[in-house]
Formats: sequence, C-alpha cells, structure tokens
Amino acid sequence: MAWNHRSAIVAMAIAIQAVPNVFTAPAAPADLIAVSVPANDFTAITADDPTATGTIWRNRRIYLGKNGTAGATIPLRGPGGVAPPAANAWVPGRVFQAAGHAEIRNAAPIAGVFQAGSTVNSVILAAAASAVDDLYLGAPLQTANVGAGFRQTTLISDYDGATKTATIPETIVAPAAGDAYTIPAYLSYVLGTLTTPPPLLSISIWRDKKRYDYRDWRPTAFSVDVPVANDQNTVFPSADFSGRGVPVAVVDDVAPALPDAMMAISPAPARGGKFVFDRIKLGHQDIRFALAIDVAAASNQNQDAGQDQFDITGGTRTISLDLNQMNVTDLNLATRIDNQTIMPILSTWGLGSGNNFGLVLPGNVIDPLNPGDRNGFVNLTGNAYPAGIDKSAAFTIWW
Amino acid sequence: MNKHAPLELPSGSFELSDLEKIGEQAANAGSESERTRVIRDGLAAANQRVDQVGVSGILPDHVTMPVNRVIQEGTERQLPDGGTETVGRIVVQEEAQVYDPEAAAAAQPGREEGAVAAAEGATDTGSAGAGV
Repeated sequence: MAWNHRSAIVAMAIAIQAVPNVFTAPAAPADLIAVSVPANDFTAITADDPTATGTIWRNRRIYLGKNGTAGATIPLRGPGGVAPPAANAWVPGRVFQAAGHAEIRNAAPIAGVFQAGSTVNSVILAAAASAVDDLYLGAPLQTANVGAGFRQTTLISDYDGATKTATIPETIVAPAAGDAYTIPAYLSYVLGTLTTPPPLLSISIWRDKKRYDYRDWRPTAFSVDVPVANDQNTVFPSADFSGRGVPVAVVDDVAPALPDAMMAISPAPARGGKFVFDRIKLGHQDIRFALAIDVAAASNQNQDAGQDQFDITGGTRTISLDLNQMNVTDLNLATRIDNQTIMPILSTWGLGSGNNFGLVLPGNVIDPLNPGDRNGFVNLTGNAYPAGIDKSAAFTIWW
Repeated sequence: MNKHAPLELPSGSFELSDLEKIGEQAANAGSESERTRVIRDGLAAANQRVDQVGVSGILPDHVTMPVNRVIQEGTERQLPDGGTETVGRIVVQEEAQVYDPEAAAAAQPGREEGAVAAAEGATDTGSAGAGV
C-alpha cells in the first residue's frame, strides 16, 4: 500500500487542448509549469429527489457528475535563452492565451533610426516601419533617449501606421532625426476582445503519487500582480489563475520534477525598473491587473452531460493600485479623477535577456484613491479601469 | 476607411511579421468586404494556435471523444410479498467514442461538417465544432 502522500510534492502541467471535450494529455517535461502549490477541487452535480420516503428523511440527492476547479500562482520567470521560444511553447503563455491574450512573437531585433518630428511622448519610427495601426502595441522599444541600462527599454502603448508614430507611456528625451532605436526580439501577450473564444486547456496536477486531470478548462480569474520587492516587501511578480474544468481522471502517477533549466531562471523582482503613471514616474508598492471572467455552459440535451463545453460569457478588467502619496504639484490626482482623464500605466522589471518584463496598460481611468498607511508612509489605494476595449493590456518579455 | 485599421486579434500565437503582411494585404483590398475576408483568412492561416478547430471550425477526420454517459444501475431485492423490485441509482461513466464524420453525416444528413454528430447517434457536441 502506498499512502502518506506528501503535500509538498506537487507539480502542474498545462497543454492547449486540441479538440473540445477531449483531454490533451500534458507531457513532462515540456508542458510542466513552475507554480506554487496549486488548488484543485471537485464540485458535485446533484439533483434533489423530491420523492417522499414515508419518514422525516428526504431521499439522498441524485448524483449527476462533477465539475472541477484548478488554479495556481505562477512566480513570473521568463523563458530565458537567447531568443523567444517557439509558438505556444512558454507554458505560462498558454494561460495568457486561455484568458484572451494573443501571443505575438518577434524573433529577430528590428533596428532603425527615428524620423523627424518625435516628441517627449511619441516617436516617429523609420520609414520602413509597418503601416498597420497598433501593430507594435506592447512592443519594447530601446533607445538612449529613453534611459540607460535596463531603463533604456520602454513599451509602445499605441501606434499609428500612417505616420509611423509610436506613442510612449513615459516622458523621454525627444529623439532627433537619425537617432537609433531597436525593437528587440520579444514575446508579447496582448489582451483582445475575446470575440473568438480562446483555447481550452487540459491540466494535470500531481499531488505526490496521484495525478488529477482536467479538460475543457476555462479561466474564471486571471491576474498579473507586480509588487515592488524591497526589505519591507520580500515578494515577486506573479500571475494568478483559477478556472473551471471537467475532471477526467484521478490516477496513480508520481509527480515529475521540474527541469533544472527552468528552475535556474530566477523570478525577476520588481525593482531597478520603472513604474510610470500618466507619464510620471511614481513611487508605489503594487499594481495588479485582474480579469474576472464569467464562465458558463449552454444547455444541450444532445450532450450526455446535458450541456456544451464551458464558454466565456462576460468579464471585467480591474487595475488595483497601491501608490505612494504624492504632492498635488507632482501629480494632481483629483483633477484626473474628476475629469476621468485617460492615462497610460507602465511597469518594467527584469533580470536579463529572456527574463525582462513589461506591463503596459495603454489607457485607463481611475476611481478616487484612499489614503492609508503602509510601513509608516501615506499610501493611496484604489482601482483603475481600462478605457478601451481592444488591446487594453500587453504583457511583454524581451531578449 | 482607415486602410491600416488595427487588426482585432483572436487568442492564439502569431509572428509579428505575419501580422504585418496581413495588415498590408488588407490595406490593399478593393472593398470593405474583401478587406474583412483578407483579415479573417489571414489571421486563421497565421494563427499557430494548437486547437485549429477553434479557428477553422472543422474537426479532424477521426478523433476519440470521451463521452459522459448517464446510465441506470440497479440491484434487485426481494419484497415481503414475495415479489421483487429494482433499486436503482444513476451513475455517470466516461466512455471513449470515435467520431466518424461519414457515419455522422449518414446518421443526420444535412448537417454541416463542423457540427459533430456522434457515430452511434448518441452524442451531438453541437457548438463544440462550429462555435469555438
């Protein structure tokens, strides 16, 4: 007999499901994902039996099957290496895709020189740059006009293909015509409208010597949390996800160990980068971009389960902020709140090639922020919301 | 019409260079309907999404599909008057079932290929094929 299964021995693997209703078995090590202890449980589907039993006791409920939930926290570590991985290969990216993001890969750096007309908030890319609007939204842009070292990278928050104008969510030194720039190799996840349903996921969770399999998994919650790391807050950026799936099987299977190459990449702390709010660099503690997603299955008697697979039927996008209180002369929040000014937000952090991150929220409006205390300093907490519908967030890794 | 209007991207995986080509082809389209078609077909072709069924709406020729099947399971017991009765319970079992499009078409003529009818006439995944 083999019991006394240990709770610390856990692993998770995720595969993009090829066909609805059919489990695509994730394989170790290619589909393993580095996560915290995952959460998975089952919910019974039962029907009340109204039959009178001739006693005070109601008859037992009729068991119709079960649903499952599965989720975890992903400490954000990039794929590393010298270039972006193959399409769909970065396993956390599969969760981004399931939550409505398009994965965009740029395998080779794009070098160019600015044309005349750049300002402190927008740059005119080379004449050879794309004519397609928004194509570079979320793309990293590196130039000495932005900063030095790691901070020379910013993310493009808007792009006009006719004029080659890339909008920058921070204030930079206006480039002169002929100044050089690079769009490095990158992997970006751009949030779309979900007009086309995102892919379903198949998920395996090992708990020591048993494996729980789920198919047709859809996210109900997804967030990217970027807390600043320092001596008071020893935390790392992470992505949290939870969702509903159909339990497939519970089998005996020993948990696989994560590959050394994956564990050799450290999650990058959010420090030494930048946090820019309406193009002003601010001190802050945390920004979290969260999706709350409604998931439901349409009724269908022709299905043995009485329903089709889970679909995403609605959702909300919320940005939670924890800012350091600032002078009105530095940033007049009240005016921006009252006018519902649409403002960009940018956060970048990283530890090196393939482990550099950026989160850009191109246009947002903000609720009133409430003052409080954080480690003896006045902070401001509250929510902001994307003002646009399509491409309202981009999460980018660059090399 | 903004000839280079932004592409609305579905979930999936795309090469930046492919998106640029699609945008350029769309800009050169002669009409709005042609532009819509170029974008739709271009994105479907460029998308390296694994579950291509989600893009094309067409299932592979033969796929194995687990089916949740509700069955009655009963045990017989003796009654005091000498008769018997069956005490039943409902259980849900998963079975593997092979999707055969030809058999499905024969079973329900007139259905589109993307909509799945089970070979044994027991299952219809409805929007599973066409709606994803």
